[in-house]
Amino acid sequence: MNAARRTGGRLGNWAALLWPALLLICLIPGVLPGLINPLGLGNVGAFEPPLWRLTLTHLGLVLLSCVIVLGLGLPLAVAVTRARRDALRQLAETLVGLGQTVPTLAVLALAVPVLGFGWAPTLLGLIAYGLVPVVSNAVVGLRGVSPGALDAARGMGMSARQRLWRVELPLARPVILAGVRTSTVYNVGTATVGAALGAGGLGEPIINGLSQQNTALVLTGAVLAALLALSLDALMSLFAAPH
Amino acid sequence: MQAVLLLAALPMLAGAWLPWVLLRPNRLAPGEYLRLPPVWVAALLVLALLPLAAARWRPALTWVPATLALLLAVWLLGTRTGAALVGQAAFARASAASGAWLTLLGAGVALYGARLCTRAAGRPAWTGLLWAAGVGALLLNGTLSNWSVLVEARSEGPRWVQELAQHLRLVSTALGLAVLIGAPLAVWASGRERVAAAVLGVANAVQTIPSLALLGLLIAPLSALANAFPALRSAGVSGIGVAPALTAMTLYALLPVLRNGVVALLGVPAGAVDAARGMGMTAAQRFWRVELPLALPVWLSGVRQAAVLLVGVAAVASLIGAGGLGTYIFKGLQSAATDLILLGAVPAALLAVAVDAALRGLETLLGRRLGRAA
Repeated sequence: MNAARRTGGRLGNWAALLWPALLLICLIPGVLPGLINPLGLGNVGAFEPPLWRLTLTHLGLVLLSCVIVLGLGLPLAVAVTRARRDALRQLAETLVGLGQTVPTLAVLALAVPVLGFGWAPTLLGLIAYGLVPVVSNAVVGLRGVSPGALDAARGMGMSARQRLWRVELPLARPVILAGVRTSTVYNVGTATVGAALGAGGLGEPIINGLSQQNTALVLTGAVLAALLALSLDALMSLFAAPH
Repeated sequence: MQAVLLLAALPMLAGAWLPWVLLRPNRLAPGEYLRLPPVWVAALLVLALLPLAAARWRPALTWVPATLALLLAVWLLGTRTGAALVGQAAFARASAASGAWLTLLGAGVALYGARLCTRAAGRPAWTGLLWAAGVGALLLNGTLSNWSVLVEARSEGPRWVQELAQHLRLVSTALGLAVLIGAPLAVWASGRERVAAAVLGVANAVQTIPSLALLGLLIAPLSALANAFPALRSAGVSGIGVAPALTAMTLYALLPVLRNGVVALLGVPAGAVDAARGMGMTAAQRFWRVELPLALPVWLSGVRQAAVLLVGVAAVASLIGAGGLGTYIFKGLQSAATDLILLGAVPAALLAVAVDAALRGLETLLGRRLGRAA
């Protein structure tokens, strides 16, 4: 497994530049239609809104949900991992497990009756779904901090707040960042499905293409969504890499 | 426990005051919100606070008010929707509004808290399942039959069962294929570090790609394949429908099966394998009688993750014409019919939870069996 991780790391550094570069090339107007039209699957003309705007909408949804998820998830994880809060922690773990199990599309679709169509139900779905890996990893990371380190910190006279900021969070950081990475990458996929709720983004050409039976249009959206997911995964692997 | 039960009481307290039933002249029109009669509001308020009180003085009995709260909520939903529809035309629909949903949510959390109390008191756990029997009875005796989602389900009837069967068929076929491909691949890769790294890397990249994008990416090659070889087309291969859905789902399920297989096989203690070698077992015997039984519990948890994932991907796959419960979700989204969305989304969610629980049970069972055998 060690070898796997090492090879993955080296491959990751290299791919961290490859995928975003490919994505940017594909976003230059005319490049992607030029590649896809000769396949004879259908015709892709100029996009309205242009592809880069769809990509930005997609990225914006994912990043905004990521920020909200961090703002909600980290305090939640910290709160339920304090001493004598076992019942709350179990509730959080059960809910998170449930979130992992319930299909994304079901979560997104159930938000529509409450919030109507557009980006709002998608954002809610992204937050609900993105919380899962962040909270579960943060709980695992914070609970994994060795009691010895905490004892030592206590012995040095650190207050509970100092222990949290200067011992627990730094030690749990790699696990937490891995959760953020998983959450972000999954959310790229969830946001694609969000196009069915009218959220815009790169799912839009896919869904339009499917309903118009234009495979070229489907391919355009699918290639860009896949490249965006791979790019974010590669870029975040640079941050999350253990030092 | 107190904190969990407090979290349960808040939505129930709010839910009792909020409107419970939305009455609409037909399934798409806007409607009017109806509240509960004061008697029932009072009953719900009491039942919202009782679990908290019980946990304080009689923790072992917390399950009684929690179960009662849930059953009262379900019963009220049934009777209030029925009452709302009296004297209305046949097209009228009575659906659950925010109050009902919040109360059900709170009652669910209260049941969870009650289970923690029961466990802490060392009492048997069967009391925690009484609510399921109660809800089942209310469903069967027709109390809920005026609720709009069940009205919709009745009118869909056999078609809904077909879509559910199609959903299950898609999931089980893709899971079977993923295990058939992934298991030998994992065994082969687990002995070779480089191969393992490469295989896991590729499977990881596939899983990074959004499911909808993967479905879209497979349409082009599969339709090209079907155009080039008409024999394949008659065998059911085409760009739209079951073929690309199954291909994408199998690729998606491969990663958990592969990853857990490799991890499980590498995790077999070297001592056990050495002892087997010392007993004169051949390589085949070592694999079937030592390595596989020891690796199986971890491996199975990978299969479970794959199965749960597939229930979700199958819902999205209906977008490319593969059928399944997602059909209702997308149909409901297109016509803005909440009941249709619920008819697809709730069973899909329950199905995922049920598959997860069933395979988890199998894991513990197998772990116990193998533990005894060893």
